[in-house]
Amino acid sequence: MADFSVIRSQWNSTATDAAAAVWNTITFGGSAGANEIRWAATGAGAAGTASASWPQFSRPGSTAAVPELWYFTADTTGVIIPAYTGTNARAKMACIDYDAVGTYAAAPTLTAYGDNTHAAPVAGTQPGALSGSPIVNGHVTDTGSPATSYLKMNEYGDDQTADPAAGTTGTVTVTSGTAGSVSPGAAAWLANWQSCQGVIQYITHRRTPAATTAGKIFFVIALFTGPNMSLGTLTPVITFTYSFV
Amino acid sequence: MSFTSSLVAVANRIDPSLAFWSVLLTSGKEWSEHSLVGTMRKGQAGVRQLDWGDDIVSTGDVHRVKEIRLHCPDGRTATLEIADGMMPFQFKTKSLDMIGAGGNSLEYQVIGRVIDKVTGRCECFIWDYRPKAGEPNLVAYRSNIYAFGMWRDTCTPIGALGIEVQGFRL
Repeated sequence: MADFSVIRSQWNSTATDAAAAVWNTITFGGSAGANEIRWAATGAGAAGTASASWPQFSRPGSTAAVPELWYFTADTTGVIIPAYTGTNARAKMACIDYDAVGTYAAAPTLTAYGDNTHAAPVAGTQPGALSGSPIVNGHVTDTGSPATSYLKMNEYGDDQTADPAAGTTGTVTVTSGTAGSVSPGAAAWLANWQSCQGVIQYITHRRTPAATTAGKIFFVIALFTGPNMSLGTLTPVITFTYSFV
Repeated sequence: MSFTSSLVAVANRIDPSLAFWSVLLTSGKEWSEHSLVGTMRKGQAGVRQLDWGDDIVSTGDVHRVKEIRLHCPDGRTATLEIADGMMPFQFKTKSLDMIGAGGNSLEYQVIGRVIDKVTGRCECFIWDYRPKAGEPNLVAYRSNIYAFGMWRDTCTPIGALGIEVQGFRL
């Protein structure tokens, strides 16, 4: 069973994109406030804040990106992710890191769902049936027509161990998103970010990574919100789906 | 190969909740994902599970497969005969969730045969670990190795299968 012994999400904690990334592991499948990432208003987050006490983000009068992102290895052990700004400014934000034990059978995919049941999103429906549905479903007035997800992502085309070059990563707006699957080119980011909306809009890596070869698949995210997003405690999941022989 | 990894190999072998594949070769020899292979590394003897890439593709046995089978957790076995000109393949798919509550879930396991090398048309049996309500776990599915689809809307389609890792000669 040539699955990977180690396959994990990692987030960069260095202050500048020019510096080498410092990758911090967040185990897949958070629980009880641990192994979460959390969005906040600028200056609102704090390292010792429990998940249940995390500050609310006020819904804006017009669409805007949520400006701050934190990762938490334990419920009250958090670190801000400086590479996240809600814009396309920084390339070294996050990655999927895997060891040399496994062999991919196809190119993996990245998308988001309303929760870990992975029920199909209903584009444009607010609030939707799942806790994270308001984010994933989007709304035509805020996120374009047909509705894209409020959560956007870009991916780097090459799987490799070295960090991608510092810098900007394509164009992202609240309406970014393309129906179906999109894939970046070699050694490049998508020119336009993709919306993360289950099987409706998602990213497929450009190739099947080499067999039994350790590597990283790099991605960046930005979360938008707007006046037509339903309120609540919104807990979508970003899902990495891969096949192996 | 450490003592620990040998234990993992044995544990995987006896987990009744997991489907597994086996193949019958034209020689009459049978190999199974549950077969254990002896190893010797740095003077330490151990065992590992038979591996599709290392033991079926790399040895060339992939071109001598007469039948490929999917042994299901409910006791059923689905079999695909591999006639001249066909190619067998198998893979598993898993989803990993991040941000918050989530999991590390096997989505499904596939055995298949390429029935038209030019177009990539293929036929499969699939054990679906997360079927939609009212849908069966064991699925018969026709697709294409260049654009492998999805039979439910709760998991992203596979797309093109890796040609080299399956040992395809197309």
